Amino acid sequence: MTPHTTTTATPSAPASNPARRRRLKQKLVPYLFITPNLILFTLFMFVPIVGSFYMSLNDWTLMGESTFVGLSNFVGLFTDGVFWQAFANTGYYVAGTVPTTMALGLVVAIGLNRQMPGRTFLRAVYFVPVCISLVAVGLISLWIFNDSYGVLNNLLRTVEIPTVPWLSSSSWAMPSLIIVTIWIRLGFNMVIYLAALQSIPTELIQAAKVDGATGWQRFRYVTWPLLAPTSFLLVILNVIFSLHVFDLILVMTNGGPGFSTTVLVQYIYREAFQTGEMGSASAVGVVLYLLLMAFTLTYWRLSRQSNNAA
Amino acid sequence: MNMSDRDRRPGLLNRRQVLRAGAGAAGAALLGRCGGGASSSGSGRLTFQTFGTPAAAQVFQDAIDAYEQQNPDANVQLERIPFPQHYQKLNTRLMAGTGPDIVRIQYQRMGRYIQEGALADLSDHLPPGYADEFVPNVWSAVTENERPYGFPVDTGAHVLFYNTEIFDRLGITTPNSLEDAWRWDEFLSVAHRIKESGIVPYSVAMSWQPADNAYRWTGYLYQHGGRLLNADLTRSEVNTDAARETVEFTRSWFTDGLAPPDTSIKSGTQIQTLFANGDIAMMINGDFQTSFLQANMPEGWDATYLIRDVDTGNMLGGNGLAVTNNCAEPELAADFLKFLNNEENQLRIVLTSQLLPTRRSLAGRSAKELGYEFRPDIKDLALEHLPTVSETAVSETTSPAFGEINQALGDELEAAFKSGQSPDDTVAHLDQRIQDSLGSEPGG
Repeated sequence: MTPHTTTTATPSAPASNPARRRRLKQKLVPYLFITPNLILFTLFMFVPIVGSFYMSLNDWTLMGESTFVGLSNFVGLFTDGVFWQAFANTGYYVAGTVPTTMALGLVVAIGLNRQMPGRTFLRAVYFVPVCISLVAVGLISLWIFNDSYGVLNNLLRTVEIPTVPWLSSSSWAMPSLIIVTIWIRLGFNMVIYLAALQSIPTELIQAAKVDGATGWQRFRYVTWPLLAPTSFLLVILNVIFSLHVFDLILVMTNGGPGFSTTVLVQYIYREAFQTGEMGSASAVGVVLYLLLMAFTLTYWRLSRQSNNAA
Repeated sequence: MNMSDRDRRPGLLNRRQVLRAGAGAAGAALLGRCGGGASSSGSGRLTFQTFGTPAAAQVFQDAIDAYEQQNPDANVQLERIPFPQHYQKLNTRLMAGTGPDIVRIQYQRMGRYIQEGALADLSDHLPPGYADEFVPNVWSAVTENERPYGFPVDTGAHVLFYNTEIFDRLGITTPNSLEDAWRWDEFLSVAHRIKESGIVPYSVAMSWQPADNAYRWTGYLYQHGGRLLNADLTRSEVNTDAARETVEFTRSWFTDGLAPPDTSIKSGTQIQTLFANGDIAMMINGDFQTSFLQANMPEGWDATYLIRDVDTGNMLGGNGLAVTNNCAEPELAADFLKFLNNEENQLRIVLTSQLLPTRRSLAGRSAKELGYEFRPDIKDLALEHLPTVSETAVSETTSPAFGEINQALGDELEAAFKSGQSPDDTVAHLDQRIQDSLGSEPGG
């Protein structure tokens, strides 16, 4: 090493070390922030998910030893008519709740986005059901929809309209559950849409007005496209909520009449905690996980494609 | 321990001491968690997981206090868990090896826990002749191969409640003895008469909902000479005419409009509310419903003998207390349970819960003498029904696979009552599913 190189290298080394250290620090800081959450996620999400995948390949009754059975839990599942009915019911429930809660949430949000007396009070009224425990809602709804002593049928009797077998008929039980779900979830959708509506710059709406756009045109070509990211988020969240529905159905119909309101999560509960078949229950959990993953990825891709096209 | 004044002053603790103390406390807490509910050998500490009303838990707590006074070294911790979470919590605790030392279990759940090796065999902890102190069929509910795994604490019986005003208007008289209890055809004829009178929309409802109680249907199966399993509980024996006829009999309550459509197995309807509201004229339910009626329908009802067919047959109901295999001091736990289930304490438990006693010395007395204040005549009626829970009912209901069998009963009966599934198909499906749960081929 020549004296020249030494003199040039020596001053640059202390200058580069703090810079490198700073860069390293900048890189490490985010990890430091996410570490606590990552630990919790790993412990309570990732490990159980991997555990479920493993458990779905075993026969295990919670107590005692588990036995490796390969894919036979999945074979048993796919040959069980109740599983397919639960699958179809879940689809029915998702289709009945997601578009309706979103559409009604948007309508209410647009309504409550204007200057009007009692606006804050009404916003609170719509949001209150979100804060109530689902079990409590289920119990209250049971008293409202009960065929014999429910409030609704008593009202119908009072005005001499034929009563409806809300919860005792296979064709009415699921619509009853959907009605209650819409009531619960409307406030949540309203609040998210309301926040999105308030973030739309008023200049855009006013510019469209100046250009002669009608109310519907302003909504269709200005507001609705700007709400697209919010709608995307709400579709994903609502689908997840609907796929996870359990307590409401357990309390209101217990999956009946017959299996007409049995959904996938309830099927998991049945297998796990009533029959004690943890392997089979985990297999349904894996199917539900894959289903949700496939839906999210597809929807995300479609949404990205339409955004790019726009 | 010698400690100077200076050492005692907290201000003088240095950082290292504080950290050491903190680490020690955290370690102790962690070790405590690891120990869970299991008592350490010789500590005298027992954990006791139960469910039920606060009043029932208070009776347990009073007994605990009395026991601890007599045995100063014992320390029993009572944990009351809401019923819907009771078994889930028990299962996960047992799996983690931190199960409670003592647990309250319904008789129909006992078999599975015994088979899984979760409960302690109490043979060595009970004095000779202890079994003779209990009503035989309830004692059988806590035994497996003649080895006791629990203490039978309470039981109940199903009776037929009826609306006296409607019965008087229609001139319907009720039977005077168990032997004369209405046969199925007599019962159906009464139910049709009530329905046709138009006084009430429906005649009868049965307490087989929610689905956990589907097994109560088996009472009718036994009445009709049928059974679910063979004598050694290894094979299904449900595929018989008796079972098909029993399905047809109970299904006709719905198809003929005798029972409200929302009272099938998976319904959330409380049939006692329907009865108190005057929507049904008859209710087949447990005798413990007297406490509900006392609050909601103090007058205008009575009860009579449960219907019967070729045989009298009632449903096994009630709860036992067991010692888990997590317990490090089963001798102490058994001693405490003997005390908790002695004559005096059992009487307090059953009077508070409005259930029936399992001790012969109590079950043999009149309800008035025992101290049931509201409608002791109904309790006498129920006590008379106790021997009608057959050995077949007990052995099948407490069999290890009964959880799965009960699930199958709930699904298939619901399909028969609500979805038009024929009795032939219902019994064939039941036969298949019972065999599946037993792990053997279908019977004939």
